[in-house]
Amino acid sequence: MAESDNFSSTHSTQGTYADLILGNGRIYTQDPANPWAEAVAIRDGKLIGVASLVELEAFKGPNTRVHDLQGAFCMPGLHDMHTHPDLALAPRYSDDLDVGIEDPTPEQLRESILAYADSHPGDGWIYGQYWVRYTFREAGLTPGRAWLDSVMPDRPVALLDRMWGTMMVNSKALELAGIDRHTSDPRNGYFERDELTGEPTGLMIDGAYAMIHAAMPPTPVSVLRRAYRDGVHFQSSRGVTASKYVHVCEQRLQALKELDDSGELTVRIEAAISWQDDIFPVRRRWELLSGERHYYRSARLSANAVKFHFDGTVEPKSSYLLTPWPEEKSWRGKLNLTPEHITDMVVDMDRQGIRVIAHCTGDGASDVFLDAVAEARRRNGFSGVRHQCAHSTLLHPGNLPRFKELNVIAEFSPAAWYPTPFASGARSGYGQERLKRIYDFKGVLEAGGTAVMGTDWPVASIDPWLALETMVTRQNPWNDDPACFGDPISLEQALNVVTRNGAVAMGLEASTGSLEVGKSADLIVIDRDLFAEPARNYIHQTQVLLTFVEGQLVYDRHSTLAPIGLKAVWQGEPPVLEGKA
Amino acid sequence: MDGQRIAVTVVSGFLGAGKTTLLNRMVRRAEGSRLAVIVNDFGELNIDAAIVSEVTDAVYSLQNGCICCTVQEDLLAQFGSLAQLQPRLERIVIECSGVSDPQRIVQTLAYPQLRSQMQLDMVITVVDATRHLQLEGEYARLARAQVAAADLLLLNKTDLVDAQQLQSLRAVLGERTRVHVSVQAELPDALWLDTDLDVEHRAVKPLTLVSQDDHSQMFSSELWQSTTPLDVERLRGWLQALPGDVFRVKGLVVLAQGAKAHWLQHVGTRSQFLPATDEAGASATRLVLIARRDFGGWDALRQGLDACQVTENVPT
Repeated sequence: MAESDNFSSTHSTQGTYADLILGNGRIYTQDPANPWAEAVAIRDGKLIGVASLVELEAFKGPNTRVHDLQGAFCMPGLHDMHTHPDLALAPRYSDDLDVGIEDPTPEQLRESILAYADSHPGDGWIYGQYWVRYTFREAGLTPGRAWLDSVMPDRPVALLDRMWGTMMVNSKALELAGIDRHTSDPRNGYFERDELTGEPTGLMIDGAYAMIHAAMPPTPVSVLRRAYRDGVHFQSSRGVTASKYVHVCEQRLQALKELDDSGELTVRIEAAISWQDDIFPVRRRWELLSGERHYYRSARLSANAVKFHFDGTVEPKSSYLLTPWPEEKSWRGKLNLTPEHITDMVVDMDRQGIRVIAHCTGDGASDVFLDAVAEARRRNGFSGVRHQCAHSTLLHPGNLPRFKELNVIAEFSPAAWYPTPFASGARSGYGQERLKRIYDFKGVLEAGGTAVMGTDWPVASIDPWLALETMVTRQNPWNDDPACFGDPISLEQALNVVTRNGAVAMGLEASTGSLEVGKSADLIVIDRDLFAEPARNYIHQTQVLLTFVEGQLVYDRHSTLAPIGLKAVWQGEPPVLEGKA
Repeated sequence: MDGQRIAVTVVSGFLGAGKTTLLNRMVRRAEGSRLAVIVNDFGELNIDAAIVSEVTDAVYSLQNGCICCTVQEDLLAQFGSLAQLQPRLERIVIECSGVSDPQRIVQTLAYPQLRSQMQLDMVITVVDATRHLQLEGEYARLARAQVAAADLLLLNKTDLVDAQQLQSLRAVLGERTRVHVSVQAELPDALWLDTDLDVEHRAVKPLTLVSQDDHSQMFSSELWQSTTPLDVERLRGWLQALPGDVFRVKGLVVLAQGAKAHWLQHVGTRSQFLPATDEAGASATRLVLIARRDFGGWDALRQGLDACQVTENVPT
């Protein structure tokens, strides 16, 4: 028989005793009135006592479980406010064609396509990678629909080249995507045409990929579910109790709901519906935004958010800046949507209680976004929804106070807030002057704003402890390089960023983010006192021992609580999701 | 050939192959002409002090790393602003980083917003005769990509290899690839500039040797003309089968299947057709062919073109 639901309401009867008491800990509560404690008492998922063990004695009843923390460091759970386990893992788990040869000849490619078709019978899409142009040229062949039709005429085929600049498709794929000589090119790419007839040649360049993706079946829910399952497994075992999965569609929400229903969604998730189809198509966008999203709602899952890409990134110089890029006379980058579009959209979403999470890397993009929020506040008043400026790579100093004024969350992603070969190379494109004020946590915090951290995996590591350490050092965590990017903040500030501020960003500040009576028992126990040693090369090595969400034991590294009858959802070492950095 | 669009020459080649030597030659050639050069690094160009004042404005630097690895945004913008320069540029030479695939730039130039303003004229890849065959792994793959993207290979430093090495190199590069052999990255103007190929103002004399200038003594060019429309598929077949000694074909073609005349440009193994806007020139096909001076296949070429003519009346 299934477990009965156990929701509590205003008139539910409440017990007298705690379900669990964790005692003899060094508990960093994030409650300014009571910053340190020795023990916590938990009942029905909530904290009913945060004090000394002696003071909590009264909560100890005949059925109360008691666990001795043996002096271990305990704190509220971590908040990773921007990440993408689906984008990182789903491609690994999907069963696409992988030619598996660095530079296959057309003949090898042909054999590979035919073998895949044999092992995947039917009339479904054949999608995969890679081919290279030069082996075609060397063989005296022209890549494109004609060649691909000669290999596979009756099933749609789409193959990416190794440079990721071109997708080769056959006639069937073009037909299913509805692309012919009358079709217009997208703004951010094009498809190659025969110059005399205008017919597509079957080579889709850059942004034209999306035209094919739109015709393909979406990533299966089972693949997405596996990706999210591994993502939350990792996050729980690294102490994350709340996270935002930025960019979802109906398939992704279904996968998250299935995890939730099976009791494996061990992290509180805010899922942001994609406003554009630039990563994957969202077929039920308008249904979701107008109310269908509520069907997915639970204590662990919310889809009351929307995400969009407002500008680009540093490498292609597409971040939208207030002044021209270095070495450029007038190029400032570009916005993917007009300011008018974004203003109307923010006003509309704000009215519906939907959080807008805007990808803004350039100081020009965040400037326009803040203007849009200002207009929403002017028209709607404060709706209670705090919108989120994602990445916030560069912020104009004049905009720092506006985060507080407008109730906008400044989210920073650690991809390049400390020196690494990647960061030093890629981010140097902004120029030295801008590099000095990159990821300005300190500026936002000093101006009274709410700053949060989002790992943005797979752009950066999903490990929150790496982000936490480098917030404090802004230095490379693995060597002695004295180089430092931007302004560090104190450990106290950084811990506030990943706990209390995260809760504010989730809209859950009343129920989590600190260890206070009445709040949810979202807490972690770790293997070290974070204040005991200098942060560098120390904090990122932290091991999480126990993770609780809503009082539920979701992770128990050494199964220490098994003897008192508590079985965690996840046990043992965290899963290995990424290679060594 | 097309007065409205700026010709773009892409210069590629592996590190140390001799690109800078070639670019220096091109910068000198830029003197007094409306030619801009986009380089990866100013520092490597020893621009002669005497000509620096004239050419500085025409040399643009892309120092933010390898242009071919970045997405096109800034390149699109840079091309866009170059297209607005007055007096109008005739040609842009763009240098690719030594460890990049020029295909990236080729694809950028085909973006719809650039197509109306510029036209890829040719990709020249400088190949180091002493090192090309020794490259390994990812470097070897990049070098192959550079060779494959090229309309013309400048086989450089050939004085440092013996005849047998040269032969095996030629074999690797393929029979139909257009190859010009050099020692110090010398590139005859005839191979990359259009000065001899002014089709519109050429006296119409079928199959006449039309160019005997000093600097093009290694090459000869011929004019073929016809008032009979051509079959496009036969013409394409003829273009694809052109021998490696024929470097370039360009001119106006009147096609049997099309309503309009087209400008045709064929470099290496790549053909481009563009609808001709000038109605006056739309009545006859006039093609200029440029080949190695000692090329002996003119008769076959002419016969091939003759065979492209659609002799019977095509009902309209």
